[in-house]
Amino acid sequence: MGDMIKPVNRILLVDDDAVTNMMHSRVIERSGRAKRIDVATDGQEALDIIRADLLAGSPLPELIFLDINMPGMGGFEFLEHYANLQINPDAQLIIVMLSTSLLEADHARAEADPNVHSFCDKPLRVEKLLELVEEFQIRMQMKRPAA
Amino acid sequence: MTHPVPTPDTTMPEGISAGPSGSGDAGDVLRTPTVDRVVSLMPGFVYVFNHTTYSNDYTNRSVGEQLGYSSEEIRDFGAQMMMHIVHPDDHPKMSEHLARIAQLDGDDSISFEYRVFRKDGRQRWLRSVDAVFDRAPDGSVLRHIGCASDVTIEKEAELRLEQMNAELEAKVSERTRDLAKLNGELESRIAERTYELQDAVDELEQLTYIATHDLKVPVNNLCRLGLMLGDNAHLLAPDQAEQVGWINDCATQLSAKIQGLVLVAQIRLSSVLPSELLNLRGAVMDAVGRFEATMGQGARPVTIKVADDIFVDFARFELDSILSAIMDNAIKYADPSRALEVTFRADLLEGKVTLLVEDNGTGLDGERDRDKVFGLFQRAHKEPAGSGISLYCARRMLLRRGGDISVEGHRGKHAVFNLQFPKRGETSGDG
Repeated sequence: MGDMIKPVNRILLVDDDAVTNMMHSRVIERSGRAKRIDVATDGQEALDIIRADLLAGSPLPELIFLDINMPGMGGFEFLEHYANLQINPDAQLIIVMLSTSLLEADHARAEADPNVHSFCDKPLRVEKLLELVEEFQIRMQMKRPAA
Repeated sequence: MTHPVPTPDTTMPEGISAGPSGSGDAGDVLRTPTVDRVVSLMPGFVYVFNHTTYSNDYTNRSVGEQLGYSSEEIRDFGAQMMMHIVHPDDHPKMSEHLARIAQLDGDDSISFEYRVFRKDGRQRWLRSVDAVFDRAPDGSVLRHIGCASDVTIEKEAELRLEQMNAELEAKVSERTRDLAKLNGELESRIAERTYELQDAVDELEQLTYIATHDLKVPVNNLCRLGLMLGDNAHLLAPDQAEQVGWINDCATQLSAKIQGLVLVAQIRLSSVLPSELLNLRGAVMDAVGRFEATMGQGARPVTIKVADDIFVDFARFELDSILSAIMDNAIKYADPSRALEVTFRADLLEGKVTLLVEDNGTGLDGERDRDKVFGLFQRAHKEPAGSGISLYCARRMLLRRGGDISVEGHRGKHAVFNLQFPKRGETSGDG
């Protein structure tokens, strides 16, 4: 069934760690489930990318992998600003928080945020990526009106 | 009396004239119309008691009648009336009182309080004030004169007060016992918690030791192996060579984090360093001197507005580390578009020294960046790379000795670090 999953157009990686970004990019590239990968090294850069898309009327990235601890704007601060963008709920964006944090408080805070789809450990595994892309495509199919 | 009169051998009153009649000399003296009028208007009982006959020579009104007894009953009581109406517990005290009157000098008087029973059984309190009326040629007391009044209300109030006081004292004693018990439990709990905390500290120190020493060997080996692999990268496939590079990057990061933990552990150890009075201007100038070479050609000279007579009570190693961290931060986050300006300004207010350090670098937002500026392994800026350790350590060192550090400013414009040193003599030895 995995082979039948259509790739998403764009995945945004938000992480300040260069090695993590390279590893995640490699996992996504090898999975063939994304046509394009964008990288932001903090929350501000990620916000700038999304704002630019909104301004240009371009499609938003379908999947965002968001780190918690980053210099400058961290993951949770990004989520606060993201919520203020008032993006149409139909945009079907999936935000996944990626962290090695063992803190219960971080997990609880992420799960309490309506814009966060889930919380998973770094580094990203290909199985998790396939699962998320599949879920995204199923959502898209359900959204499409019957022919 | 109404005085009860003890019989010579003892204890019991006798021969009291209970009627409003007087007899003998005293009766005659007091029975002049004016005196009679006066004593009849007086509340209470006026009497003259004869120490020879142990009876009253005069009373202004009948005690028995006042207490509700009938004439027949009074007659039946006879000379033993007081024995019937005085509270049995007060009989001995009354005998003692009469004996004291017999010992009175000159115009001295003494008073006495005792209980009597009304016919209806209710108890009343009487207070007598007695003085010698006349004496025999040898000076012994022949008769005494006295006045007894009903002080039941006063006595009952007094007794209630005594009872309330006693109850209060009992409650206070009880509360004191409870408090002593609670104190005991609290002390025991504190001792228990202290033991637990000490245990936790010991464990933490052990973990820190492991992190800072035991982990270093494998991490250093990992770094070395990575470099060895890198040296042979030309023998590897491109992907593998790239991954070796990543491994080396990770090993370097790991080594830096462990080095950071070592520094944090050293702060813990430095907290036992003794504090001393240090000249702040001298310490600032030393710190600036240490960074002159790295400030760059374009930087303006550092402005130091610190008076010569300002001293701080601090450990020298820690003060130098803090000032170095601040200078290093100012230089690291200098804005390349303008010449770096750093100003040190100290104030002494009510014995507390405050040092403001302002720079015109890339700036910080006090509200937004505070946690990251002083958090361990946290950074407020993406560039340039930093360890996120030095300002954390600076804050820990200040807090541990009773001081503090905060930051204000504006992103893109400036940052102001506010260092508050503990008052002289109030430096905490350890945190």
